[in-house]
Amino acid sequence: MNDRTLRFKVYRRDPGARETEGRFQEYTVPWWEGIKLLDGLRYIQEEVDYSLAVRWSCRIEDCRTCQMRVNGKVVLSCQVPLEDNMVVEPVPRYRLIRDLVVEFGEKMESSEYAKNEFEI
Amino acid sequence: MSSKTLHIVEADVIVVGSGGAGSEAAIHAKQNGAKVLILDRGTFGRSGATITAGHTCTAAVGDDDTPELHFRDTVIGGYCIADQRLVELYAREAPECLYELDGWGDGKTLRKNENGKFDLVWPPGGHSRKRSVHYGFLTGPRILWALRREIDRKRVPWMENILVTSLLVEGGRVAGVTGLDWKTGKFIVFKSKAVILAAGGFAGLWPSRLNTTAVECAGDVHGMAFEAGAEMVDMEFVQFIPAQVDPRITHINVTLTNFPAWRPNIREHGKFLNAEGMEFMGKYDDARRWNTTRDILALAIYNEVTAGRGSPHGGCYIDLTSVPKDVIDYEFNKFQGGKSIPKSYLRRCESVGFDLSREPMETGVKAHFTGGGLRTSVDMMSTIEGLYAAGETQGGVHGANRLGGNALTHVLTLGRVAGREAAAFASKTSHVSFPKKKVDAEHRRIVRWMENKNKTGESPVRIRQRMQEIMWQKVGILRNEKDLKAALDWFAEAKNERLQKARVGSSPRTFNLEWATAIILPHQLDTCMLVARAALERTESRGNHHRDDCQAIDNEHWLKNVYLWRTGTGSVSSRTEPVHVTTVDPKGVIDERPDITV
Repeated sequence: MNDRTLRFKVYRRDPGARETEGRFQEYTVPWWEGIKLLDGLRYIQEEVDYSLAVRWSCRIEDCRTCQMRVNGKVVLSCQVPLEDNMVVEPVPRYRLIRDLVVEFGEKMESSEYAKNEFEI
Repeated sequence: MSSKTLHIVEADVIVVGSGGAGSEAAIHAKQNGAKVLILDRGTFGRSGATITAGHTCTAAVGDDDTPELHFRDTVIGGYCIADQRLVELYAREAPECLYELDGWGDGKTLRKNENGKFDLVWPPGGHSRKRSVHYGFLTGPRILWALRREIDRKRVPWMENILVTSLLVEGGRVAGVTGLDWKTGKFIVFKSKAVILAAGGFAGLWPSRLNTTAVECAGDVHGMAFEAGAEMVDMEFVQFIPAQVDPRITHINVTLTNFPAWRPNIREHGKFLNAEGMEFMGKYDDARRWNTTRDILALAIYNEVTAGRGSPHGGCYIDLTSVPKDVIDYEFNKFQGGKSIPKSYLRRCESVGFDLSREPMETGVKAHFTGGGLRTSVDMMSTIEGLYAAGETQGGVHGANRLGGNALTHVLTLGRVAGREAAAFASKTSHVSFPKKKVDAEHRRIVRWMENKNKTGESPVRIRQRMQEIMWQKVGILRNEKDLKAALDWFAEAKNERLQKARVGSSPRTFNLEWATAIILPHQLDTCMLVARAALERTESRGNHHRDDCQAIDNEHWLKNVYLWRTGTGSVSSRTEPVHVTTVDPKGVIDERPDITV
C-alpha cells in the first residue's frame, strides 16, 4: 500500500462574496505514479473540498483552459507533475472568477499558449 | 421569481456549444441572416471534443475517390444501420465544407501536398480510399482555430461560462433555453425561435479515467432534450476505443494508440501484446489483425484484460520497439511538420521519460464517441419543432460503429446544414409565447440547492461518481440483461430517492462545481437510463454494442434502429423501425467488410 502524500498550497478567493484578499490553503493528496497538478486539484475538488473552483476541459494539453501559475510560472496543470510545496495561483492578467478560475473571454486568443500553438 | 429580476436575452437562433458543430452552425446561421447567439458552458472556442481530435478528417477529395464510395464505406462500417439519408448528405457536402474551412484559415487550415491539394493519408480501418485530410496531430485544434477566425470576422456573438439547464418548449415548439451564468451565479432566460444543440456526446457518463472526451461532454443535454420531449435514436452505440493508460503521459489519448494500426510502415513491424507478451489479435480477427475496426480491437483488449492478461494500468501493449528508428522519427516527429518540434509526440514522450522505441505503450479501452442522440430529419430538426441537433449530440449518423476520421467530417458538415436550416426556419416564424411557469419552476429547481433545505445528506458529486462507475461496470463494453436491468434500477433510485435527499454543502455562487453537478445530474441519470434501455432492447451484438447473452449479429431481425421518447406520464417508451435506406441495400452488403488495400 502506497502511503506517500503530497502537500501543496492553493490560492483561494471569492470576489463574488466580496473577498478582496486572497489566501493560501494547504492540501494533502495521495501520491501516485505520474500524478499531475490537475489530478491533485481534481482529487481535492471531488474528495476533500467540493467548493474548490478549478477549470479544465480536454486533459490532454490541447485546450489550455487549465493553465495556472505555479511557483510564479504559467503552466498547463494537466501537464505538470504535482510536487511537494507547490504554490498554485490563478493565471495572471485575467479577471478572477473564483479561486483558480479566471474569465478568459476574448483575451484567450492572445495568451502565451495561443501564440505558440501551431509552432511545432 | 419576479419578472423584474429575470434576465432575458433574445436571439433568432441559440446555438448550444462552440466546438466544431456549434461553430459551423453559428457561422452558417449568421450567413443566412439569423440573429445568432452561441452559448458555451466552458471557455469559448476551447471547449468540447473537437479540440481533442488528433489526426484525421475524412472527405472524398482524392482523385480515385467519390462521395458515393465514402457513403458506402460508412454504411458498411456502421453495420448497415446508419440513417443513409444523413450519411449521403454528409459524404456529399464534406469536400465543399473542408474547402470552405481551409479558406477561413487563408488556405492554411489543413496540410497541402506539393501540388497545392490536400495532403491525404490513410484513414483508420474501414475506409477503402485514402481520404484523411489533416494537420499533423493537431487537426482538431487547427480546425477550431479556423472556425474562430471566421466567427470573429463575421462577428458572431457568443457568451461563455453559461451552463444551459433546460429547454423551453411551448405547444410543441421550442421557445428558448434557461441557463446559469457561472461567472455571476445568475439565472438567465434565452428566448429564441430556434435552438441548435451542438453540445457534444455523452462519453462523460463513464468515469473520467475511462473516457477520452472533454469535460463539457457530460451527457446531460441528451437527458435535457429527452425531458423536453425529443425522440432519441441509437443510444446503445457507444464507441469504446484503444487509448493509452500510462499515467505519466497526458498528451497522447487515442491518436497514437490507433495510429500504427493503419500506417503500413508501422503495421509491418508493430505488435499488439498482452501482459504475457503474446500477440492476441489473431484470436479475434485473424484476417485483418490490428487493421480491424475499432470495435473489434477494443473488445479484444477488454477481453485480454478481463481474462487477467492485462498491464498494470488495465490495458495491453502496443509494441513499436521493432519499428525502425527512422520510421518512428518520421511518423511521430517529422510528420507533424516542424523543425525542432518540441511538441511532437516523440519529444513529449521523451520529456516524461517514456521512450517509444524501447518501451511498449500501455493501451486500455475508454469510452470515446457516442453514436446515439437526438433523432433528426435531413434538415437536422429533431422531433420538437424548432429544436435542431448537430454534431455528437445528434444520433443515427454512424450506425453501430463509427469509422475513424468520420467524426470531424460529420460534425462540421451537418453542423453547417443545421445552421442554414435553423436560420431559414427562424426567418419564417415568430417567437412563441413565453412559458413563464416553466421558467419559474426551473429557477426554483436550481436555487433550491443553494438554500440548503437539507441539513445533512450526501453530495451530488458522490452520486455522480457512483453513476459513472455503474456505467462502466454494467453499461460498458460488454453487456447483458441482468446488468442492464440492475443499472436501470439504480438510475431510477438515484434520481428519485438519493438525489432528492442530497445536499450541496459548498456555498459560493460562482463557478461552484458541486452546484453544477446537482443541476445537471438528473439529466445525466436520464441519459444513462436511455443508454441502458436501448442496450436492453437490442437483443443482439452489433458494432459497438456487445451482449454476452446475445452474442451473434442478427440481420434477420435487427436491421433496425431503437427509438426512445418520454411519454406524457414521464416514463420512457421505445419502438424499433427498419433502418432508412437510400441506395445501399443492407441485405447485399452486410457480410462484406472492406479490406484496406495498402
